[in-house]
Amino acid sequence: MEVSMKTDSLQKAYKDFDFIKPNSLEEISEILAKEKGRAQIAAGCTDIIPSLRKKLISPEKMVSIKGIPGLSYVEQDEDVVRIGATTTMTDLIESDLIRENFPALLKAAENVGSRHIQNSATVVGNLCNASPAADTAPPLLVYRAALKIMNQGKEREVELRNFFLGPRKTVLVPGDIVTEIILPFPNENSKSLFIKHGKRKALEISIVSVAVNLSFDENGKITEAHISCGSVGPTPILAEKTATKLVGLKVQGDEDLAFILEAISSEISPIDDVRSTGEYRRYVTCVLTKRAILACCGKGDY
Amino acid sequence: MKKEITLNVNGNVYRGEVDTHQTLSNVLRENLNLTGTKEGCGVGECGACTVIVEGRSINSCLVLAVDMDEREISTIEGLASKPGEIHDIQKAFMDQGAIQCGFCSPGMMMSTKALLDQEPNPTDTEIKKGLSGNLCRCTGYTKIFEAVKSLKAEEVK
Repeated sequence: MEVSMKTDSLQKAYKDFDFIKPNSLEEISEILAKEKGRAQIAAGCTDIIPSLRKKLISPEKMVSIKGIPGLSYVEQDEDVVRIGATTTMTDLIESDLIRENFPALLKAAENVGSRHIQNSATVVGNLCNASPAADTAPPLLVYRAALKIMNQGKEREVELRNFFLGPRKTVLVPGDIVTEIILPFPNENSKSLFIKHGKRKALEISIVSVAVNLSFDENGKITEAHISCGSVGPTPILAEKTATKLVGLKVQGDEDLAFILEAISSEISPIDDVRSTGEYRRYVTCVLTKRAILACCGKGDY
Repeated sequence: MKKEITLNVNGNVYRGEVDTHQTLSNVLRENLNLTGTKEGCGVGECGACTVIVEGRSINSCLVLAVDMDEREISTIEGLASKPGEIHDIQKAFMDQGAIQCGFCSPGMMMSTKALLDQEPNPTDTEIKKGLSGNLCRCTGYTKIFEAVKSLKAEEVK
């Protein structure tokens, strides 16, 4: 049965825009470069539509990246895993490569919004949206991810730690498209973990999130450490000074981690907002970091 | 701005113009008169607008209709095989008293459909995860949970 649609005129919640579905990344990049800030890439749209409704963004052109084939993948390429630009959270969750090698990233993807959101939302979009609370940012930071960025045919790589500039601000300039996340495999003898703290388990923007990735020698001494925290600063934070202090330690219990509160406090700048107070965030960041470290060291549950 | 699109909804092909800013939930309700799909929060938190696109449950309030051009969409109206009949999921919700005001029910049922299509024998945790994107302010979830549980392939046998 074929039916034609009524074309009622609807009251729109936001400014009118054009919608374009190009066939190539080059074409998208050229539109973005030409339109400067007036064009917006649309992938999963789970952040874009709420932003349109709240009038946080008002693009003149919405450029869909979903029409371009071959951008949704999670695949191994020698010693790295490559995640494509339109790969969804569900694609990550269903990937054996992620499940077996990147438990902190898997956990973060499972914690994004809800099943419905995970089916639409893309991982690259989660990063480009540059929310300090982006669930996948802390794990990708502790796994030392890099981003492949294309601008009108020219490619460059940016380490994720250098990508975020502030709330909703990244190093991306007009014409830039993040085409891929490059994820090196974790060290052989390593453990990683992600903990998200919110008021409920689903459909929650984190109050604090913490990801930890620790490598050990054969005696259980920490040889390499990465810690990242979400929702406690203008960007997701890589707490390098705290992590450095862990190197060389053989953690036996809580008593070995007494320095964490002061150390992590100096690296975060949590604020009061609708979800929590800054003071609570500071305390919980310390608690979660300790729990994550202890769990990675096999000394407790989280 | 208007764009011509084709939507396949519950096996029916619809052609027509939509405004670029219209979400799928808006087009379903206002252009196609398929008002079974509800819009609650409009930002992907409540799940009342849940529809299934090619096997995956999504929030229809969080996608632009123009972006759904040529896609296959299932809504609550397509759940029962013909008019006047009800689907097993609908029957289970009625039998278990899992409906009160009814506003969340279409979304709850579409989430249940997506869940059972993928996993006919979900564990309790899988049921909770499958329904995690749907809020109900009346029932307290227990009866909804029981309704889904009663639909497990091994229970039905």
